[in-house]
Amino acid sequence: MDAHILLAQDDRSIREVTRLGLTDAGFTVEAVGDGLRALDAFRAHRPDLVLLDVMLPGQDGLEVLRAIRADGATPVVMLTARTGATDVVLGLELGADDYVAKPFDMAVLVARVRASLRRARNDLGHDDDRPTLTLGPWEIDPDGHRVTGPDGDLHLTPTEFRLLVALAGAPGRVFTREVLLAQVWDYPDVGDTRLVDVAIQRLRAKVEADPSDPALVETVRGFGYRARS
Amino acid sequence: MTRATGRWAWSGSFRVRLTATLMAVVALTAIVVGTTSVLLVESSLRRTLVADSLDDARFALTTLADAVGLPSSPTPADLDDSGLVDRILARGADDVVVVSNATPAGPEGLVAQLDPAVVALVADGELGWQFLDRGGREVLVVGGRRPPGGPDLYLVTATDEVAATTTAVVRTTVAVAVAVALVGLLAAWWLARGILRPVGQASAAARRMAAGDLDARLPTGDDEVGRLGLAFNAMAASLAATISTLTAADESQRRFVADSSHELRTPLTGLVSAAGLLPDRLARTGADDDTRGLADIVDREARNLRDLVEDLLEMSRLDAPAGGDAATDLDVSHLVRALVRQRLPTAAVDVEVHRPVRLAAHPVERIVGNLVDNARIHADGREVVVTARLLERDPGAGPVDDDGPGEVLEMVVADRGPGIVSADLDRVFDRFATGAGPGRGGAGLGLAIARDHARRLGGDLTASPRDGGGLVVRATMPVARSLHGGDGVETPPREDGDIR
Repeated sequence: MDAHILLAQDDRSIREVTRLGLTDAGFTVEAVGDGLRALDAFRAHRPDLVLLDVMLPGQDGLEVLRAIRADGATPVVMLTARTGATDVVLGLELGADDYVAKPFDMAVLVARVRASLRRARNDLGHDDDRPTLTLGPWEIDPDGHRVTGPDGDLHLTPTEFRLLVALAGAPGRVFTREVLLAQVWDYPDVGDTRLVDVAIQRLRAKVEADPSDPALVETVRGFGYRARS
Repeated sequence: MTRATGRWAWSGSFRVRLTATLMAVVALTAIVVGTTSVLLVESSLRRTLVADSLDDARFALTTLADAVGLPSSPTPADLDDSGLVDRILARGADDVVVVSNATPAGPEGLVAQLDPAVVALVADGELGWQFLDRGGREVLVVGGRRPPGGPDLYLVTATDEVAATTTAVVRTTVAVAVAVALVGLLAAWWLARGILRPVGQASAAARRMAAGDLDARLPTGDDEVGRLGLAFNAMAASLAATISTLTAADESQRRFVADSSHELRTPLTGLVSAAGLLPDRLARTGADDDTRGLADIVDREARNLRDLVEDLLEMSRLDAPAGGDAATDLDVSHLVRALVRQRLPTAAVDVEVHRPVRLAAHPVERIVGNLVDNARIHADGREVVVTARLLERDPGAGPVDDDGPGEVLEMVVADRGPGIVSADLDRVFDRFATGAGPGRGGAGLGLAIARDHARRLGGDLTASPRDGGGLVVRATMPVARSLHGGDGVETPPREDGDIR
């Protein structure tokens, strides 16, 4: 998988080892040690994926994430060491696709990076001929990665789009958070189901007329989520 | 419930005993005083009656008899003519019996009824008296002889008035006694309450302290109860101080473990990652077997060290008094299968939970993961069975929600490892306890952490020997019943802890 990864990590040892590990796994890695240089490198080289430590000198990792998201849908995986869960939720709310908690196994990190890249590629280069889906006022074209409504196109991140496709592809079916995590995030094992909850929240903010009273993406208490059939 | 009933029975019986004792004293006093006064009144009335009758008899035998000019040894006709009997009757006697030679025994044998001593007294010229039953009525008979030769006059006076007065006195006395007894009952009850209230307060305060409320105090004062309060409060204050000192020491130790573990993480992350890259890189560069063996050791031990530090951090978090993790709709089937796939793919999995249950994800992950890890380490390739199912909560076991008893998630991991002799079964949950298994890999914190998590969830973790050899570890986790917070949007973040 010849992908270009931008790694922003302040701890020199971890940065160096992670760079080597990702290189061994076949990626091209550009490693930087602070937030400002991360943004510069991002704008200069347009990496396929960004591995972003939350705590960065210069410019905070969350600030960098915000700037990257303002720029496009490049997959961002956060590296977090903090015991407080606020950073994780905040990062996900800002549009990070996934996070890996330190200390991490290199194998786990590589697997997450691969899954994120695979998702992004599938979103872009799907050559199957999947039928158009509808949910409420929205027309969803899974292959074209387009969501069209009465007032024009809706801008969704790849994760939000995949979540919408999974739910709208089986209207009325209830998905547990764990199943969505496996299906949408490509998690092979257990993961944090808050990824799902935050993504649902973000999705609702975009597709619902009243996100506080969701009518299209429903919560099924005690089970999970489903799209209105 | 039994305890409460017992407490009330004891307290009630003490109060009843105290009240009954005080009542008995009051009632006994009333009876003794009442009876004594009735007897005194009655005897005084009788003495007065006797004295009055004696005066009347003396008057009738001398002054009255002389006035009417009754002759000595009169005939009945003389008697009738004198009108003496009528005059005596007019003075208040109920009956007069005249005994003369003509009628020696008197009517209805009155004289025969009398004590011979009384009759002898009369014959000697003295006055004699006696109480008699006459036709069902008690009467006083007073007799005397008119000097010198007679006749003998016996004045009969009914004692009805004495009886009536006595009865009235008895009635009044009983009424007063009953009233006094009632007042006594109320006073006794009130007194018992007053005595028992401080006792009740003291036992309530002791119970609060036993339940962990070190702020429980008693009212104080200068009396005996007040001094008990002072002593109790001094004890409570001393206990609270000791406990707070111990808690502070414990907390500072916990914080030290947490902080040092946390600081170890960053260098460890670099170390583990670097060590993990070594074996592959050495293989590629053609290093000799010994060097590659060393790299494997560095890799393995770095991971062990990392796991140990993570376990210590987890343990210090479990020791912290802060609240637990928020419950979510947990897909147990998915979780168990994923964890087993990740950690011990050869284990047989039997999950009979077909819908999400409300449980906090992180503790359940740790419990299931650590149980499976433990089985992997000790079973050493032999059979391991992982089962999960929902049980109805045993109503007798522990506290239940307001909604009533709910369900319990039961996780059982059974292995065919060497097992544990019964005497050591409890020790497997001790921190840093490692079994005699062939595999190494844990520092012995896994089951301790799993048990702490299970207990934090309100459940427990137990170990027992497996039939045919091996060990069965069973975790129970009460399922939260209410479905509030089911909307993921509202799910609050965990207060503490990374997400793995």
